[in-house]
Amino acid sequence: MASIMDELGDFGRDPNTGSASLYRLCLPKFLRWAKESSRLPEDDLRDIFQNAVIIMLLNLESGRLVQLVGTLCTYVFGISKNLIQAFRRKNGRTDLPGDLPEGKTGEQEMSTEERMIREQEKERLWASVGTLGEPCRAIIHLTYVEGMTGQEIADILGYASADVVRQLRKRCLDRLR
Amino acid sequence: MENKTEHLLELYFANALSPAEVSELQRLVAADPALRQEMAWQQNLANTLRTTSLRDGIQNEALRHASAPPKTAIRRRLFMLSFAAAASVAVLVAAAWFFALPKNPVENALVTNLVHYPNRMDFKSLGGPEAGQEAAPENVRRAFELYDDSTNYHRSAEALGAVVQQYPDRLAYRFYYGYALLRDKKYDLAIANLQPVAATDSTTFQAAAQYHLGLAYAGAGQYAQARTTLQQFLAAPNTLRKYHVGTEAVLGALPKE
Repeated sequence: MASIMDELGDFGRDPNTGSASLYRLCLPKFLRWAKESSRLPEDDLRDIFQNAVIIMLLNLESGRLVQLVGTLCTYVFGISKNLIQAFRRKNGRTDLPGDLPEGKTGEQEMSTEERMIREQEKERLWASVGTLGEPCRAIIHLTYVEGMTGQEIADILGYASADVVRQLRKRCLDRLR
Repeated sequence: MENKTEHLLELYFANALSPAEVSELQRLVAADPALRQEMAWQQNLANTLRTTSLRDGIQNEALRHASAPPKTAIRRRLFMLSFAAAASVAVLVAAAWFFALPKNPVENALVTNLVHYPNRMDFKSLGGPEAGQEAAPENVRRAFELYDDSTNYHRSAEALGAVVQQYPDRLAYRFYYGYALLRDKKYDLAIANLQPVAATDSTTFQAAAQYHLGLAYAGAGQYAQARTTLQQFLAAPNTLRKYHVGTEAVLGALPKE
Protein backbone atom coordinates (compact mmCIF):
# COMPACT_ATOMS: atom_id res chain seq x y z
CA MET A 1 0.00 0.00 0.00
CA ALA A 2 2.85 2.37 0.88
CA SER A 3 4.35 2.02 -2.60
CA ILE A 4 1.00 2.76 -4.25
CA MET A 5 0.58 5.87 -2.09
CA ASP A 6 4.11 6.86 -3.09
CA GLU A 7 3.24 6.41 -6.76
CA LEU A 8 0.57 9.10 -6.62
CA GLY A 9 2.72 11.39 -4.50
CA ASP A 10 5.69 10.90 -6.82
CA PHE A 11 3.53 11.68 -9.81
CA GLY A 12 2.23 14.87 -8.25
CA ARG A 13 5.77 16.03 -7.42
CA ASP A 14 7.12 15.35 -10.91
CA PRO A 15 4.28 14.93 -13.39
CA ASN A 16 6.52 14.94 -16.47
CA THR A 17 8.55 11.97 -15.26
CA GLY A 18 5.38 10.28 -14.04
CA SER A 19 3.69 10.73 -17.38
CA ALA A 20 6.74 9.50 -19.30
CA SER A 21 6.74 6.44 -17.08
CA LEU A 22 3.05 5.81 -17.77
CA TYR A 23 3.62 5.96 -21.52
CA ARG A 24 6.73 3.80 -21.32
CA LEU A 25 5.36 1.10 -19.03
CA CYS A 26 1.58 1.13 -19.37
CA LEU A 27 0.91 2.10 -22.96
CA PRO A 28 2.47 -1.03 -24.52
CA LYS A 29 0.48 -3.27 -22.14
CA PHE A 30 -2.67 -1.34 -22.86
CA LEU A 31 -2.16 -1.56 -26.63
CA ARG A 32 -1.58 -5.32 -26.47
CA TRP A 33 -4.73 -5.90 -24.45
CA ALA A 34 -6.91 -3.37 -26.27
CA LYS A 35 -6.02 -4.48 -29.82
CA GLU A 36 -7.06 -8.01 -28.93
CA SER A 37 -10.26 -7.15 -27.11
CA SER A 38 -11.56 -4.16 -29.05
CA ARG A 39 -10.16 -4.69 -32.56
CA LEU A 40 -9.73 -0.94 -32.84
CA PRO A 41 -6.83 0.52 -34.87
CA GLU A 42 -3.68 1.40 -32.93
CA ASP A 43 -3.93 5.13 -33.67
CA ASP A 44 -7.40 5.29 -32.14
CA LEU A 45 -6.22 3.34 -29.10
CA ARG A 46 -3.28 5.71 -28.60
CA ASP A 47 -5.68 8.66 -28.69
CA ILE A 48 -7.89 6.88 -26.16
CA PHE A 49 -4.93 6.26 -23.86
CA GLN A 50 -3.93 9.91 -24.10
CA ASN A 51 -7.46 10.98 -23.19
CA ALA A 52 -7.37 8.60 -20.23
CA VAL A 53 -4.13 10.21 -19.02
CA ILE A 54 -5.71 13.67 -19.41
CA ILE A 55 -8.75 12.58 -17.38
CA MET A 56 -6.46 11.19 -14.69
CA LEU A 57 -4.67 14.56 -14.56
CA LEU A 58 -7.98 16.43 -14.37
CA ASN A 59 -9.00 14.22 -11.45
CA LEU A 60 -5.65 14.81 -9.75
CA GLU A 61 -5.87 18.57 -10.22
CA SER A 62 -9.45 18.80 -8.96
CA GLY A 63 -8.78 16.67 -5.89
CA ARG A 64 -11.10 13.88 -7.03
CA LEU A 65 -8.09 11.55 -7.18
CA VAL A 66 -6.39 11.44 -3.78
CA GLN A 67 -5.86 7.74 -3.28
CA LEU A 68 -5.20 4.81 -5.56
CA VAL A 69 -6.72 1.41 -4.94
CA GLY A 70 -4.39 -0.28 -7.41
CA THR A 71 -1.54 1.18 -9.42
CA LEU A 72 -1.68 4.29 -11.56
CA CYS A 73 -1.53 1.99 -14.59
CA THR A 74 -4.64 0.14 -13.42
CA TYR A 75 -6.38 3.44 -12.78
CA VAL A 76 -5.64 4.70 -16.29
CA PHE A 77 -6.62 1.30 -17.73
CA GLY A 78 -9.98 1.56 -16.01
CA ILE A 79 -10.62 4.97 -17.55
CA SER A 80 -9.48 3.68 -20.95
CA LYS A 81 -11.95 0.78 -20.87
CA ASN A 82 -14.84 3.18 -20.42
CA LEU A 83 -13.51 5.39 -23.22
CA ILE A 84 -13.21 2.36 -25.53
CA GLN A 85 -16.79 1.39 -24.79
CA ALA A 86 -18.05 4.85 -25.68
CA PHE A 87 -15.78 5.05 -28.73
CA ARG A 88 -17.11 1.79 -30.14
CA ARG A 89 -20.67 2.98 -29.68
CA LYS A 90 -19.85 6.29 -31.32
CA ASN A 91 -18.13 4.70 -34.32
CA GLY A 92 -20.68 1.97 -34.66
CA ARG A 93 -23.33 4.59 -35.20
CA THR A 94 -25.17 3.75 -38.41
CA ASP A 95 -27.97 5.60 -40.09
CA LEU A 96 -30.43 2.83 -39.40
CA PRO A 97 -34.20 3.06 -39.55
CA GLY A 98 -35.50 4.75 -36.46
CA ASP A 99 -32.74 7.36 -36.32
CA LEU A 100 -34.05 10.62 -34.89
CA PRO A 101 -34.34 13.76 -36.99
CA GLU A 102 -31.30 15.31 -35.32
CA GLY A 103 -30.50 17.69 -38.11
CA LYS A 104 -28.13 15.50 -40.08
CA THR A 105 -30.23 16.02 -43.14
CA GLY A 106 -32.25 18.86 -41.61
CA GLU A 107 -29.49 21.37 -42.36
CA GLN A 108 -30.35 21.33 -46.04
CA GLU A 109 -33.96 22.22 -45.25
CA MET A 110 -33.07 25.33 -43.22
CA SER A 111 -33.75 28.77 -44.59
CA THR A 112 -30.89 31.28 -44.82
CA GLU A 113 -32.24 33.09 -41.78
CA GLU A 114 -32.46 29.89 -39.74
CA ARG A 115 -28.93 29.01 -40.80
CA MET A 116 -27.68 32.46 -39.70
CA ILE A 117 -29.41 32.11 -36.34
CA ARG A 118 -27.86 28.66 -35.94
CA GLU A 119 -24.40 30.11 -36.74
CA GLN A 120 -24.80 32.98 -34.27
CA GLU A 121 -25.91 30.55 -31.57
CA LYS A 122 -22.87 28.43 -32.33
CA GLU A 123 -20.56 31.44 -31.90
CA ARG A 124 -22.24 32.39 -28.64
CA LEU A 125 -21.95 28.81 -27.38
CA TRP A 126 -18.31 28.69 -28.38
CA ALA A 127 -17.62 31.85 -26.33
CA SER A 128 -19.56 30.44 -23.35
CA VAL A 129 -17.78 27.08 -23.47
CA GLY A 130 -14.50 28.97 -23.26
CA THR A 131 -15.53 30.41 -19.89
CA LEU A 132 -16.52 27.07 -18.37
CA GLY A 133 -14.33 25.74 -15.64
CA GLU A 134 -13.97 22.21 -14.33
CA PRO A 135 -15.81 19.93 -13.81
CA CYS A 136 -18.33 21.41 -16.27
CA ARG A 137 -15.93 21.36 -19.20
CA ALA A 138 -15.00 17.72 -18.64
CA ILE A 139 -18.57 16.54 -18.02
CA ILE A 140 -19.92 18.28 -21.11
CA HIS A 141 -17.00 17.19 -23.29
CA LEU A 142 -17.37 13.58 -22.18
CA THR A 143 -21.13 13.68 -22.79
CA TYR A 144 -21.24 15.31 -26.20
CA VAL A 145 -17.84 14.59 -27.76
CA GLU A 146 -16.91 11.21 -26.30
CA GLY A 147 -20.57 10.10 -26.09
CA MET A 148 -20.40 8.75 -22.55
CA THR A 149 -23.33 7.93 -20.31
CA GLY A 150 -23.81 9.43 -16.86
CA GLN A 151 -22.63 6.19 -15.22
CA GLU A 152 -19.48 6.02 -17.34
CA ILE A 153 -18.66 9.65 -16.52
CA ALA A 154 -19.27 8.98 -12.81
CA ASP A 155 -16.91 5.98 -12.99
CA ILE A 156 -14.03 7.84 -14.59
CA LEU A 157 -14.38 11.18 -12.82
CA GLY A 158 -14.92 9.53 -9.47
CA TYR A 159 -18.44 10.72 -8.69
CA ALA A 160 -20.71 8.72 -6.42
CA SER A 161 -23.39 8.00 -9.00
CA ALA A 162 -24.78 8.77 -12.44
CA ASP A 163 -27.41 11.00 -10.80
CA VAL A 164 -24.71 13.24 -9.34
CA VAL A 165 -23.23 13.65 -12.82
CA ARG A 166 -26.65 14.41 -14.30
CA GLN A 167 -27.37 17.08 -11.71
CA LEU A 168 -23.97 18.66 -12.30
CA ARG A 169 -24.44 18.51 -16.05
CA LYS A 170 -27.84 20.19 -15.82
CA ARG A 171 -26.27 23.07 -13.87
CA CYS A 172 -23.42 23.29 -16.38
CA LEU A 173 -25.83 23.39 -19.33
CA ASP A 174 -27.88 26.11 -17.63
CA ARG A 175 -24.70 28.21 -17.43
CA LEU A 176 -24.33 27.89 -21.17
CA ARG A 177 -27.87 28.94 -22.08
CA MET B 1 -37.84 18.50 -18.59
CA GLU B 2 -38.66 15.19 -16.93
CA ASN B 3 -35.81 13.01 -15.68
CA LYS B 4 -36.90 10.22 -18.00
CA THR B 5 -36.62 12.48 -21.06
CA GLU B 6 -33.23 13.78 -19.92
CA HIS B 7 -32.09 10.19 -19.54
CA LEU B 8 -33.27 9.36 -23.06
CA LEU B 9 -31.39 12.36 -24.43
CA GLU B 10 -28.27 11.24 -22.61
CA LEU B 11 -28.56 7.79 -24.16
CA TYR B 12 -29.16 9.37 -27.55
CA PHE B 13 -25.88 11.28 -27.46
CA ALA B 14 -24.16 8.14 -26.17
CA ASN B 15 -25.65 6.16 -29.07
CA ALA B 16 -26.96 3.75 -26.45
CA LEU B 17 -30.70 3.83 -27.10
CA SER B 18 -32.49 0.53 -27.50
CA PRO B 19 -34.98 0.30 -30.40
CA ALA B 20 -37.86 0.77 -27.94
CA GLU B 21 -36.17 3.84 -26.48
CA VAL B 22 -35.63 5.24 -29.98
CA SER B 23 -39.37 4.95 -30.64
CA GLU B 24 -40.17 6.49 -27.27
CA LEU B 25 -37.90 9.46 -27.85
CA GLN B 26 -39.22 9.92 -31.39
CA ARG B 27 -42.76 9.98 -30.00
CA LEU B 28 -41.82 12.53 -27.32
CA VAL B 29 -39.98 14.76 -29.79
CA ALA B 30 -42.88 14.69 -32.24
CA ALA B 31 -45.34 15.68 -29.51
CA ASP B 32 -43.32 18.40 -27.77
CA PRO B 33 -41.90 21.42 -29.64
CA ALA B 34 -39.93 22.51 -26.55
CA LEU B 35 -38.18 19.13 -26.49
CA ARG B 36 -37.46 19.41 -30.19
CA GLN B 37 -35.87 22.78 -29.59
CA GLU B 38 -33.88 21.49 -26.64
CA MET B 39 -32.58 18.60 -28.70
CA ALA B 40 -31.53 20.93 -31.51
CA TRP B 41 -29.75 23.14 -28.98
CA GLN B 42 -27.86 20.18 -27.52
CA GLN B 43 -26.99 18.99 -31.03
CA ASN B 44 -25.60 22.46 -31.80
CA LEU B 45 -23.61 22.27 -28.57
CA ALA B 46 -22.22 18.87 -29.55
CA ASN B 47 -21.14 20.24 -32.94
CA THR B 48 -19.52 23.27 -31.28
CA LEU B 49 -17.64 21.10 -28.80
CA ARG B 50 -16.07 18.91 -31.51
CA THR B 51 -13.27 21.46 -31.80
CA THR B 52 -12.49 21.54 -28.07
CA SER B 53 -10.05 19.36 -26.19
CA LEU B 54 -10.18 17.80 -22.74
CA ARG B 55 -6.64 19.05 -22.26
CA ASP B 56 -7.84 22.66 -22.29
CA GLY B 57 -9.47 22.04 -18.91
CA ILE B 58 -6.14 21.46 -17.13
CA GLN B 59 -5.16 24.68 -15.40
CA ASN B 60 -1.87 23.67 -13.79
CA GLU B 61 1.01 24.30 -16.19
CA ALA B 62 3.05 21.28 -15.10
CA LEU B 63 0.11 18.92 -15.34
CA ARG B 64 -0.89 20.31 -18.71
CA HIS B 65 2.64 19.77 -19.98
CA ALA B 66 2.56 16.21 -18.65
CA SER B 67 -0.69 15.52 -20.51
CA ALA B 68 1.04 15.37 -23.89
CA PRO B 69 2.78 12.12 -24.88
CA PRO B 70 6.51 12.35 -24.09
CA LYS B 71 8.75 13.51 -26.94
CA THR B 72 10.51 10.15 -27.00
CA ALA B 73 7.22 8.43 -27.77
CA ILE B 74 6.48 10.94 -30.52
CA ARG B 75 10.00 10.65 -31.89
CA ARG B 76 9.69 6.85 -31.84
CA ARG B 77 6.41 7.00 -33.74
CA LEU B 78 7.81 9.47 -36.23
CA PHE B 79 10.85 7.24 -36.66
CA MET B 80 8.65 4.18 -37.24
CA LEU B 81 6.45 6.15 -39.64
CA SER B 82 9.42 7.47 -41.59
CA PHE B 83 11.03 4.01 -41.57
CA ALA B 84 7.81 2.49 -42.88
CA ALA B 85 7.49 5.26 -45.47
CA ALA B 86 11.12 4.79 -46.54
CA ALA B 87 10.59 1.04 -46.80
CA SER B 88 7.41 1.60 -48.83
CA VAL B 89 9.20 4.00 -51.13
CA ALA B 90 12.05 1.52 -51.61
CA VAL B 91 9.63 -1.27 -52.48
CA LEU B 92 7.71 0.97 -54.84
CA VAL B 93 10.82 2.16 -56.63
CA ALA B 94 11.77 -1.45 -57.28
CA ALA B 95 8.22 -2.35 -58.30
CA ALA B 96 8.05 0.66 -60.60
CA TRP B 97 11.08 -0.56 -62.49
CA PHE B 98 9.58 -4.03 -62.92
CA PHE B 99 5.91 -3.21 -63.24
CA ALA B 100 6.00 0.28 -64.73
CA LEU B 101 3.94 2.26 -62.21
CA PRO B 102 2.09 5.24 -63.65
CA LYS B 103 4.47 8.05 -64.47
CA ASN B 104 2.06 10.63 -63.03
CA PRO B 105 3.39 11.67 -59.58
CA VAL B 106 -0.14 12.39 -58.34
CA GLU B 107 -1.25 8.88 -59.27
CA ASN B 108 1.88 7.54 -57.57
CA ALA B 109 1.07 9.45 -54.41
CA LEU B 110 -2.49 8.10 -54.46
CA VAL B 111 -1.28 4.52 -54.94
CA THR B 112 1.19 4.90 -52.10
CA ASN B 113 -1.12 6.55 -49.61
CA LEU B 114 -4.48 4.88 -50.10
CA VAL B 115 -4.92 2.20 -47.47
CA HIS B 116 -8.03 0.15 -46.88
CA TYR B 117 -10.51 2.04 -44.73
CA PRO B 118 -11.70 -0.44 -42.09
CA ASN B 119 -15.34 -1.48 -42.03
CA ARG B 120 -16.69 0.06 -38.85
CA MET B 121 -20.30 -0.81 -39.35
CA ASP B 122 -21.74 -2.27 -36.19
CA PHE B 123 -23.06 -5.42 -37.83
CA LYS B 124 -19.57 -6.31 -39.02
CA SER B 125 -16.94 -5.08 -36.64
CA LEU B 126 -18.69 -6.25 -33.50
CA GLY B 127 -19.55 -9.70 -34.84
CA GLY B 128 -23.17 -8.96 -35.54
CA PRO B 129 -25.81 -6.79 -33.88
CA GLU B 130 -25.80 -6.54 -30.11
CA ALA B 131 -28.78 -7.67 -28.09
CA GLY B 132 -31.72 -5.40 -28.72
CA GLN B 133 -30.23 -3.83 -31.85
CA GLU B 134 -31.82 -4.14 -35.23
CA ALA B 135 -29.94 -6.37 -37.70
CA ALA B 136 -28.92 -4.75 -40.98
CA PRO B 137 -30.82 -5.91 -44.10
CA GLU B 138 -29.28 -8.86 -45.95
CA ASN B 139 -28.31 -6.91 -49.09
CA VAL B 140 -26.52 -4.32 -46.93
CA ARG B 141 -24.60 -7.02 -45.06
CA ARG B 142 -23.60 -8.67 -48.35
CA ALA B 143 -22.41 -5.37 -49.82
CA PHE B 144 -20.20 -4.81 -46.81
CA GLU B 145 -18.90 -8.38 -46.95
CA LEU B 146 -17.77 -7.60 -50.50
CA TYR B 147 -16.19 -4.40 -49.19
CA ASP B 148 -14.29 -6.38 -46.56
CA ASP B 149 -12.66 -8.33 -49.38
CA SER B 150 -10.46 -5.40 -50.20
CA THR B 151 -9.11 -7.01 -53.38
CA ASN B 152 -12.13 -6.11 -55.50
CA TYR B 153 -13.43 -2.61 -54.98
CA HIS B 154 -15.21 -2.70 -58.32
CA ARG B 155 -17.63 -5.37 -57.10
CA SER B 156 -18.11 -3.76 -53.71
CA ALA B 157 -18.73 -0.37 -55.36
CA GLU B 158 -21.48 -1.92 -57.51
CA ALA B 159 -23.13 -3.54 -54.50
CA LEU B 160 -22.82 -0.44 -52.33
CA GLY B 161 -24.20 1.68 -55.17
CA ALA B 162 -27.42 -0.34 -55.03
CA VAL B 163 -27.53 0.08 -51.24
CA VAL B 164 -27.10 3.86 -51.54
CA GLN B 165 -29.91 3.99 -54.11
CA GLN B 166 -32.14 2.21 -51.63
CA TYR B 167 -31.04 4.33 -48.64
CA PRO B 168 -30.01 7.70 -50.13
CA ASP B 169 -29.98 9.51 -46.77
CA ARG B 170 -27.65 7.07 -45.00
CA LEU B 171 -24.38 8.95 -44.92
CA ALA B 172 -22.43 5.98 -43.59
CA TYR B 173 -23.39 3.86 -46.58
CA ARG B 174 -22.62 6.76 -48.94
CA PHE B 175 -19.19 7.18 -47.40
CA TYR B 176 -18.20 3.56 -48.00
CA TYR B 177 -19.64 3.71 -51.52
CA GLY B 178 -17.60 6.85 -52.23
CA TYR B 179 -14.50 5.21 -50.81
CA ALA B 180 -14.96 2.06 -52.92
CA LEU B 181 -15.40 4.23 -56.03
CA LEU B 182 -12.18 6.06 -55.17
CA ARG B 183 -10.32 2.74 -54.95
CA ASP B 184 -11.93 1.69 -58.26
CA LYS B 185 -10.63 4.97 -59.76
CA LYS B 186 -14.13 6.21 -60.57
CA TYR B 187 -13.05 9.61 -59.33
CA ASP B 188 -15.98 11.76 -60.50
CA LEU B 189 -18.53 9.44 -58.93
CA ALA B 190 -16.40 9.20 -55.79
CA ILE B 191 -16.41 13.01 -55.55
CA ALA B 192 -20.19 13.15 -55.96
CA ASN B 193 -20.69 10.70 -53.09
CA LEU B 194 -17.99 11.84 -50.69
CA GLN B 195 -18.94 15.51 -50.97
CA PRO B 196 -22.22 15.34 -48.96
CA VAL B 197 -20.55 13.27 -46.24
CA ALA B 198 -17.60 15.68 -46.01
CA ALA B 199 -20.02 18.60 -45.82
CA THR B 200 -22.04 17.20 -42.89
CA ASP B 201 -20.40 18.09 -39.57
CA SER B 202 -22.44 15.76 -37.44
CA THR B 203 -21.51 12.49 -39.09
CA THR B 204 -18.80 10.21 -37.76
CA PHE B 205 -17.24 9.90 -41.20
CA GLN B 206 -16.91 13.61 -41.93
CA ALA B 207 -13.15 13.87 -41.45
CA ALA B 208 -12.37 10.64 -43.29
CA ALA B 209 -14.69 11.74 -46.10
CA GLN B 210 -12.92 15.09 -46.37
CA TYR B 211 -9.51 13.42 -46.65
CA HIS B 212 -10.66 10.92 -49.28
CA LEU B 213 -12.57 13.62 -51.15
CA GLY B 214 -9.26 15.48 -51.47
CA LEU B 215 -7.67 12.35 -52.92
CA ALA B 216 -10.58 11.89 -55.32
CA TYR B 217 -10.17 15.45 -56.59
CA ALA B 218 -6.47 14.73 -57.08
CA GLY B 219 -7.26 11.54 -59.00
CA ALA B 220 -9.76 13.40 -61.19
CA GLY B 221 -7.18 16.04 -62.07
CA GLN B 222 -9.05 18.76 -60.18
CA TYR B 223 -5.84 19.86 -58.50
CA ALA B 224 -7.00 23.23 -57.16
CA GLN B 225 -9.97 21.58 -55.43
CA ALA B 226 -7.70 18.80 -54.16
CA ARG B 227 -5.31 21.34 -52.68
CA THR B 228 -8.08 23.32 -50.98
CA THR B 229 -9.80 20.25 -49.55
CA LEU B 230 -6.63 18.65 -48.24
CA GLN B 231 -5.41 21.90 -46.71
CA GLN B 232 -8.79 22.30 -44.98
CA PHE B 233 -8.46 18.72 -43.71
CA LEU B 234 -5.02 19.46 -42.25
CA ALA B 235 -6.26 22.65 -40.61
CA ALA B 236 -9.46 21.16 -39.15
CA PRO B 237 -9.41 20.03 -35.52
CA ASN B 238 -10.08 16.32 -36.09
CA THR B 239 -8.51 13.18 -34.70
CA LEU B 240 -7.39 11.59 -37.96
CA ARG B 241 -3.71 12.33 -37.53
CA LYS B 242 -2.93 9.03 -39.20
CA TYR B 243 -3.85 10.60 -42.54
CA HIS B 244 -1.60 13.62 -42.20
CA VAL B 245 1.43 11.89 -43.72
CA GLY B 246 -0.64 10.87 -46.77
CA THR B 247 -2.14 14.35 -47.04
CA GLU B 248 1.29 15.98 -47.11
CA ALA B 249 2.48 13.44 -49.69
CA VAL B 250 -0.42 14.08 -52.07
CA LEU B 251 -0.19 17.85 -51.60
CA GLY B 252 3.50 17.64 -52.43
CA ALA B 253 2.75 15.67 -55.61
CA LEU B 254 0.20 18.16 -56.95
CA PRO B 255 1.44 20.38 -59.77
CA LYS B 256 2.54 23.80 -58.58
CA GLU B 257 -0.08 26.55 -59.00
